[in-house]
Amino acid sequence: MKKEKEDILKFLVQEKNVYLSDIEEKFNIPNIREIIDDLVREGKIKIQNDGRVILTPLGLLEGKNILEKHEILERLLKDIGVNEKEAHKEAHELEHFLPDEGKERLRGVFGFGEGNIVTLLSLSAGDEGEVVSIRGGRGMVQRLLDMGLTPGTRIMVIRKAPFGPLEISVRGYHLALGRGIAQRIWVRRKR
Amino acid sequence: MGEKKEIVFALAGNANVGKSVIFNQLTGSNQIIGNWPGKTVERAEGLLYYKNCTIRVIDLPGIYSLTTYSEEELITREFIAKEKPDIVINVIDATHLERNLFFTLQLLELEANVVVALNQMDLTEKFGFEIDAKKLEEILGVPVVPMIAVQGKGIEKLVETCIKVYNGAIRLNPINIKYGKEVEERINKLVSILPEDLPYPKRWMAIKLLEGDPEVRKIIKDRVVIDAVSRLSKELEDIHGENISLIISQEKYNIAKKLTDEVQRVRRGIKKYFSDIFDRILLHPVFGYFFLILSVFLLFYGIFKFGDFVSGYLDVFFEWLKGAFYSTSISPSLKDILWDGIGEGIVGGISVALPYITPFYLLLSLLEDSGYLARIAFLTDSVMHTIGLHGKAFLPLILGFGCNVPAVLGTRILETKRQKFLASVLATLVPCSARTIVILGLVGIFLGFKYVVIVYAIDFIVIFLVGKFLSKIVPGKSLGLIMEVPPLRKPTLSIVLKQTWFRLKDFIYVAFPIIVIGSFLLEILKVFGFLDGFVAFVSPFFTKFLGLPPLTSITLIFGILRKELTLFMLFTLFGTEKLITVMTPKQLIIYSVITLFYFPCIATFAALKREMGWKYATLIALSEMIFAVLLGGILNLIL
Repeated sequence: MKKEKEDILKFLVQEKNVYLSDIEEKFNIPNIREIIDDLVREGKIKIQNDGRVILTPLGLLEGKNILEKHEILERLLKDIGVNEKEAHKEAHELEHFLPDEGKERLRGVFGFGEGNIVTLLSLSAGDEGEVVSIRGGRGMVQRLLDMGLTPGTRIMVIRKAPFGPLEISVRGYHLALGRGIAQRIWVRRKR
Repeated sequence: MGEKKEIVFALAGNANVGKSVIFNQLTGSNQIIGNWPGKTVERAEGLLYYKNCTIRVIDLPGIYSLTTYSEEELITREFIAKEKPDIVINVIDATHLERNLFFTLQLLELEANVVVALNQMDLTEKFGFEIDAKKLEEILGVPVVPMIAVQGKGIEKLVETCIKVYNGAIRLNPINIKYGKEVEERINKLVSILPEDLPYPKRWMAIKLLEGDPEVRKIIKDRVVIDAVSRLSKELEDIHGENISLIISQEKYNIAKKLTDEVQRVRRGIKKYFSDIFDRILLHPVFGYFFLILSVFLLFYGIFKFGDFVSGYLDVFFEWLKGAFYSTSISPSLKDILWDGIGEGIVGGISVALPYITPFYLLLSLLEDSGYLARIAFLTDSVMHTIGLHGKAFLPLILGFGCNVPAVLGTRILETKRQKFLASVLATLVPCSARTIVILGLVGIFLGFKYVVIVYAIDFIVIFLVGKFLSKIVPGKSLGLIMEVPPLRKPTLSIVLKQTWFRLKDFIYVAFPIIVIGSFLLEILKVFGFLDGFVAFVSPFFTKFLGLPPLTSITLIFGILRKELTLFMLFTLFGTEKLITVMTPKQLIIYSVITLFYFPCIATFAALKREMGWKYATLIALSEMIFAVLLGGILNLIL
């Protein structure tokens, strides 16, 4: 029950103009009406006269929360090498078991704010960061260390080519890094 | 010091620090391209006469480290450790002190006799800081000579200092490079059990063993030492929770940073230098590509226009020369052998090849020296990824437009075997100047520019498809782009000219004799009727399958020596330069497409063998031959 309820709330956050029939179609389960009624009773959704389903502030909050859990988990899974499709599927299951506290802790490590650890590729032009670690084969790691990307080093992204490499400034010179490489360098975001 | 001695100076340092400028200033015109002992890597070597000493100066490749992840690094390290040059002149760029000092520290660790050439001192002011060279010298414990190499400033002082170090008038007292306590303890433990008679300094070896350097590990045979190495490395890894080479590199960089902070004083905020402003346009996601296409187009258009112009005048001149030659009183049959055999070859080489190659190498060197080539690598990175390579591979490929040999050798800048293989194969398909001559001389002159574009387009499509195909089937790893982007600068004319000359020299010295001997040999064979048998043998295949005149088979054989021979041999064999009178337009196109692909010329084949061994070189050559014949057959059917 809990899983389905959360999925419905998440669905309502993601989509606009959802009607009762849309939900019934999307969640093809026998007791769907029961679940919807429950959600209405809990004050999380409202059903308008024309059959349109809207979120109450309480429902919106919960839906957003679950969506955030999904995003964080999916990203974590992708980062540890799970492929895109699998990551989405697994996150979809795991999101219902992640406590709020756990979400906050994970967001602290993998989030977007200052001090968070992200891949170099996810920085934008003008962003600064500090190298935390490099994941990759021996040859690649050694080459990057030789070029001065040792842990603790301050870097700044100068520019990003649309589908191509990044140019960063490190130890007073400019270095071009391919996207694949930038994805394996973890940095702590700085302002 | 009465007697004459040969002293060896080696120039080492990062790429783009002005090493070659200093090399040129030191050796002037006394340069030779020499082979290294043991390894067949071509490097510039030159002689410097100073007072009564003869000094051999060796220009080592520009590298960032002495680990063994690239061939150039390995070779440099072996050279310094084993050949023990009397002095290693470490050229460092004053504007990028930190990264350059990281390399200096490695040289000192290898216990080389280092003299630091602190170059580009004029630029530090532009960048808004000052460097205290005296202080750097004190801390490093080796001489530091401030220089502005492009203006020749500091050269005298550098040589003088090196000689003083060599004579013992200046004693080196290099800085002790110390790591953390845990690391030091284990280095010392290892040093105490290492055997005597090692090819490298003991401490350096101990560090490299702990780092897990594969080349150094190979040297150690003693089980006790091997076990100690694994035990000590394990301990270190447990303490730090990190790879040991990471800890070592990190600490070395920390020392380099501390040194930099000590000697470098910022006077004002670093001001935007002109390179950054240009880069906004040159590397712009839209205008950058626009500019790239424009400049490549202008490059080739300029070369063709210039080549055409010069070639035209040379033609007139050689026509006149031919007339003059035939009016001499030598017997007519000998005249034919001499002119068709030797004259045509030389005329072809001078009037067709040089006018195109010279401006190409000149402009390429200009792009290289200005730093724009590195920008091209940045811009083309994503495209190169679709064929299993990265941006840096663009450089050898564009070199291939001049000649495939330096292109194949140039694939050394790539990191993995797979990437080298892919780039080498593609490099042999790039239309080099020799092939360009054939295309222009056949298709261009007789069918027009439009058809030249079509033949080129066929070539580029083939390169792309072959790259796509190979990147799918060739096993192995590919590493992404890791490349320094040097600041743009005004090219130095002397460097550009020298670079151009080096590349041209290869063409003149290697290719010319082959052209002349080849055409002479062919003329002799023709005169004595040896060719008829061969032609009769391959004739059915050539006429039926490829739709070509059987005589062309001979030219293709000689084209293996140099591809432009295929064109000049046609002139000799048909006895006319108006080929359109003896071949149809369709035949001209099929013939030039086959010439493009049928075999990498003998020099390129040799380069492939050198880089990858007989097996791969033969495999590449054979596949290209089969491919060319099939493509020729297909064109014969559809055209």
